[in-house]
Amino acid sequence: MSENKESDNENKPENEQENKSLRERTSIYEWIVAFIGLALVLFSVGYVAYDGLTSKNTPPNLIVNVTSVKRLAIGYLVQFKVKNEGEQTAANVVIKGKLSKNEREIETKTTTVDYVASNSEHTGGLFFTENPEENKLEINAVGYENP
Amino acid sequence: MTENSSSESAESGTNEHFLRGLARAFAGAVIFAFTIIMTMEMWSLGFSIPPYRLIIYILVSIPLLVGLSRFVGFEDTENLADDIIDAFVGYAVGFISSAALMFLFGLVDFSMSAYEIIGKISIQSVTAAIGAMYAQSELGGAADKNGNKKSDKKKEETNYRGELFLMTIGAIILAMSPAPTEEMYLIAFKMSDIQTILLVIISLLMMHAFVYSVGFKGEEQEQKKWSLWLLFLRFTVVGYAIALLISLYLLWIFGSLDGMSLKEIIKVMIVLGFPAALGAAASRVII
Repeated sequence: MSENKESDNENKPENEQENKSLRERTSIYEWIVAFIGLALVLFSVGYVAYDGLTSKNTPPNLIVNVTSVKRLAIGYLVQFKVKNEGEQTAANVVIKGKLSKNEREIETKTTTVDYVASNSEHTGGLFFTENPEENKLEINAVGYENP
Repeated sequence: MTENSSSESAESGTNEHFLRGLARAFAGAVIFAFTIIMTMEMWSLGFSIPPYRLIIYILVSIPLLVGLSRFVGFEDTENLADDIIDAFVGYAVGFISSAALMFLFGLVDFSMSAYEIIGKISIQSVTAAIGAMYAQSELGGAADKNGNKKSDKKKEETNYRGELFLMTIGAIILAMSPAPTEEMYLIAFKMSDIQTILLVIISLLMMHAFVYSVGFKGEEQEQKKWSLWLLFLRFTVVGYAIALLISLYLLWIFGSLDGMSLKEIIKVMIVLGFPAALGAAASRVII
């Protein structure tokens, strides 16, 4: 093993830069960018640690709100926004919209949202043939899986 | 007066040299990071990864970048302080370029929580930062005044420990993009036990072909003293062990091993160990 080290520290090339101090040979821009890098590392690690420690890790709490109802050439489009107020991410969230008239279900449509991270929102839409504005529309999250 | 102006021009020369290096670094960061930024599994990883793993991943990347700066990097570094500054410059470039690409691709937006945004960007920044450092050796051909490529000079100085470090970086570079994908464990599930053992043998043979042909440090002088078998033990076997450990580390960070049995973990490790071994063995060529 010892023969590996023999030439390592000897013939270092004469380098002009070695004669300058760290301050002299480091460009001002390099200092700035390096400090940005340091700040980004400290901020990212700090934020992630803070969030990890303060999070109560509550299960997904999915709240679905209708944002708009549009009349299309054939049928209607109900656009929704799903917000996860829990701390855990929900994947494959199934959203179900139900139209009913006089307590009788007349139309049900479902769609799947890939994932909704904690405190984040996702948007989507459901297509109905009956007019959602003339009937009672209920829209909510039916289930999810852990990512 | 003359002294003053000469030091000023020296300073602006240093600045210009750095800014040119910085532009190259951004190019390297993008080249390295785009494959994983365009990989679906990495998007959800940003928020599904447990906080402690993300912290470990970011913190471990810093000494890696410092080490990488020893061999390649922005400036002709001679001491640890320079290398540390270089490492943080690399991280800044990596973070900024991943953030820019992710916003551009619409993968990150302000409807997301701060944790999701930071997580998604941070997990890509490490790869991008390695690319930023790497660009200095590859795209730059940063030649010193004597016309020697800097990284070549550094390579000459590399000792056995440095050689193993370069292997580590090579393994990370090639294993990083397939590591988070579902394909890794799908392949592992599809492979029989015999195929798995064959893969180990193939990986080792492939590595040894590289080690033997790509002139590792002191190979010529050592060939007389060290037989082919000792070369195999010193570089190939140790290199493969490094490749497997890197593979295990990346799979663990990316959560691909969660809920798997020990046998499955070993199989997936060997599957990802294949590109990792390639990277480790080819580190001489690619770094």
